[in-house]
Amino acid sequence: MGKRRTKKYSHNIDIPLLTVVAALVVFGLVMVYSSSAVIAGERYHNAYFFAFRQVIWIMAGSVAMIAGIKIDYRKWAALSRPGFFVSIVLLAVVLFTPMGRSVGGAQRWLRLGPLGFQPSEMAKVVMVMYMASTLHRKYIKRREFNKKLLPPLLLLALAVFLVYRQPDFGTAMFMIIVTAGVFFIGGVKVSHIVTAVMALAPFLVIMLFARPYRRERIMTFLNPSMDIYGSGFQLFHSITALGSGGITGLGLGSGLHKLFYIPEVHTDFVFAVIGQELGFVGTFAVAVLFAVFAWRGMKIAVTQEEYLGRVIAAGLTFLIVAQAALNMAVVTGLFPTKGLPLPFLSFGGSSLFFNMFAAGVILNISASCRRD
Amino acid sequence: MNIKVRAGMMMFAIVAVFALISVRLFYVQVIQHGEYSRRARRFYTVVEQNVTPSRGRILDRNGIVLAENRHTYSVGINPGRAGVCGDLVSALSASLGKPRAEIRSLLSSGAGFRWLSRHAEPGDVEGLYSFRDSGIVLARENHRIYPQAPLASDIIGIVGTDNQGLGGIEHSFETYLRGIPQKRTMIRDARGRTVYLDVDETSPSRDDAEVYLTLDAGLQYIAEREIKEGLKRVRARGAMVIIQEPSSGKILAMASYPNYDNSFGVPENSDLLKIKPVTNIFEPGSTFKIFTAAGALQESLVEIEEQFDCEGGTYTVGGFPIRDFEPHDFLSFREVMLYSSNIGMAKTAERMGENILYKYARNFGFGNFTGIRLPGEPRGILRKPDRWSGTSLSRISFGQEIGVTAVQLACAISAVANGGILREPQIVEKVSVSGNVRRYESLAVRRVVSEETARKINDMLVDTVRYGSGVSASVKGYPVAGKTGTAQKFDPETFHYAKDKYVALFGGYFPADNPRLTIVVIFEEPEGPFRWGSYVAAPVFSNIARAAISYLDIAPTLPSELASR
Repeated sequence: MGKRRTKKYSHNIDIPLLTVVAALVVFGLVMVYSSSAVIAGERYHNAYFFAFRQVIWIMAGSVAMIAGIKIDYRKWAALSRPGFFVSIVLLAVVLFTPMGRSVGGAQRWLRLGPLGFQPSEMAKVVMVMYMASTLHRKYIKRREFNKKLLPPLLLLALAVFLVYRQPDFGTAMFMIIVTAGVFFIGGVKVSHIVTAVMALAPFLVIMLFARPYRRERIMTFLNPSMDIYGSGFQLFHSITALGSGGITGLGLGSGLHKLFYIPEVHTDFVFAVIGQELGFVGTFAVAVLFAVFAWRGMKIAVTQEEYLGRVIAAGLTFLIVAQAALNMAVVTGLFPTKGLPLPFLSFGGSSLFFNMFAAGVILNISASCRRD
Repeated sequence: MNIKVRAGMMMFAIVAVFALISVRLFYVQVIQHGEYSRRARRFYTVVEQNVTPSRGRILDRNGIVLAENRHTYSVGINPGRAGVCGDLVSALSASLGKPRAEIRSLLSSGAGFRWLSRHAEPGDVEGLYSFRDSGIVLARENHRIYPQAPLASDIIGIVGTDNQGLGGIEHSFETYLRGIPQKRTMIRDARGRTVYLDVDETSPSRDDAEVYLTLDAGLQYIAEREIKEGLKRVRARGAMVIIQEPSSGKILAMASYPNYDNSFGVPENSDLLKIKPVTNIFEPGSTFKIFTAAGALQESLVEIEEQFDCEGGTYTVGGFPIRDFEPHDFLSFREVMLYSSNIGMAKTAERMGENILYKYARNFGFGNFTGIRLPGEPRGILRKPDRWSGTSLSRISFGQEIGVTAVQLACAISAVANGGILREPQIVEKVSVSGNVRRYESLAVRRVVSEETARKINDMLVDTVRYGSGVSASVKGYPVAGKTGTAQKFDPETFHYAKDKYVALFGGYFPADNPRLTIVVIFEEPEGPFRWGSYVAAPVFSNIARAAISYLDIAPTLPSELASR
């Protein structure tokens, strides 16, 4: 019995997409080790400290991905409403109870024994599925704003606000962008999306300038050489690391910018280490892998007959690829510094776990696509 | 708008963004690569050049160490960075010998950087090596030590506060001894700590130089000891001894008094840094008769047994009287040397003429650098004949109006011992640097006189020691060739010879039939009733020769004397 079911799915799921995910995850593990070994040795007297945890999270993420592949996405969609409630509760717990853990001035982690858990990572994935099923149930038939849409949007606003208060302005912004993307792919009238975004605009500006460091980051972005030891520090060093890599890089493990020049380089700035150690060849390959991811994800979406499958597949694809693009834009200095991890490659359990789950869901959807 | 169009638009946007990122990556990583590479290197490389190399060692010909280094460490601590840690407390307590409680309170004080200990022995700070990255500073200090001090202090020299050679070999071989500082390119992390070292191969460090001298510490000790013994008998303002191997030109000992002790640091009186046998100019007195006689014999202007009218002890040339210490009426040329007759030698010089005397003085190496590799050597004083006065010819013939150094005199005497060939003096045997050995050879400068002439002079000098003025220089069982000398000191202030200031000399070599050592003994301004070379210097020669015979185990060469040895 079990054998037949496995066979059915494995024959139909999108192999290129699975390959891309596997390649990114394995490559990510190598780069996490390379970029964190020195820091781990220094801080924990164990060079494998982060690499070992990444392995554990890859194993957990694989379980999540297999669950995503095996269990019908419609069931996950049905679970997305309670899931989103849970996410909001967890975000509140992180923010308002002692269970929340503050790292680097931001309250983002939930303590779960030795492991940390980031509810915002869960919220992003669940949000996409929740918004997709909300559109499916309440909007798409008539294609107009109605009262039924208001509660979900308020919930979304609550989630974004909680993330914003951590403070994680980048993720909050990103959630709005992803929601807009889901609405766009879900067939919501462009005028409705624009109206919504316009309505949000004043709040965004207030949020943007509420904290001096954000203004500073913007200013630094506009003039990076202004302050290389202050807020431009990471950007300056990430570009230096990239540039010094050249075409083929200094060689795996030979990068030097991971020697504390970029704080927490194995998380949000792992792309800079890739650039220094493997050069343009390495960074371009990563860009191509994400482009392939986008292509397969969108292809899966457009070949769906069911609205829900289409929107979830495209929405999750957009979630992952947009985050990758944003991370790479930050590291290359095209976008102001934001604390967003690079999906599958950065160290970070919650991100890896939910992104692998999201990939699993996309693959599940791919198994039920039209045969053209 | 259907899903395909929207998905297509989204896909287009995504691809456009990735394309933009890729263009940016290409620009940063490929086009601007050089600039960012330089920038990155600036950030994490430090070139450290001030790692002072250990100075090279100085050794005698037998490998006895005359100068080497001792390392000590100064221990400093940055309590704020070190923090209180049990291992560090134990290590510091053990190495400094202070109670743990004291260390603990210092560490917890959070105070700024301070030194804990100066000049600690390497063994004491061994336990602190592993804490060098956590607030402990170990600064190595080089100390120059001279294990045999004060032996040959002036020749070895001394180093200044910056470890630069200030005198002697330390100065003249500075380029080898100082070494090349190790230039290290270090990769440092963002916290300024050194992560690993990259030794710059284009400039290898060098701190293993070894300068081997021709000096023999044993003979040097003998020479210094015998100077002191001699000074007990006759007080003097200064004294010098050179022991040279005539066949090779090697200086085996070069002692002088007064001297300083280089283990006590740089002397206040910087004149003491001068190596007097190299730098001091004096009149050679009667010892110079050797060279006048050699010239005259070589030019066949005199015969050994030819009689000279010694005018009963007074002979006036150019209005100035020349006096003999012992008045004689007639002396053979051999006896002129034996009794050191100034009048006989002046008449010999008259036959030679100014140019020939000058030529032989030059050829024996006077008035020119010997080329010894020690600092401060002068040419000496030997004017050209066109600037000689009417009395110069006769006075130079017995060693006045000419200024020589002890090294010049030793080399000239060695030329006679060596069958007429003048060699350069040699003080450095070899220099070894990182496995490369540079040997120094003493060059034969020129043949000054023929072997036959040299043998004639040799016989006369043997007679001088056996029967004549040099009798107190004799050594039982060994034929000694030599000549005494007593020169009045020329006072540069009054421009006259000082009445009571003398230089007492003896220069000679032995065994005369197969010369092994040339020894020159010079006492400056001896005091007391007897100030002649025969009384002051000749016995010191004899004492040094006897000690050297036993030290070097030189076999006696006079058969009849074998039994009595």
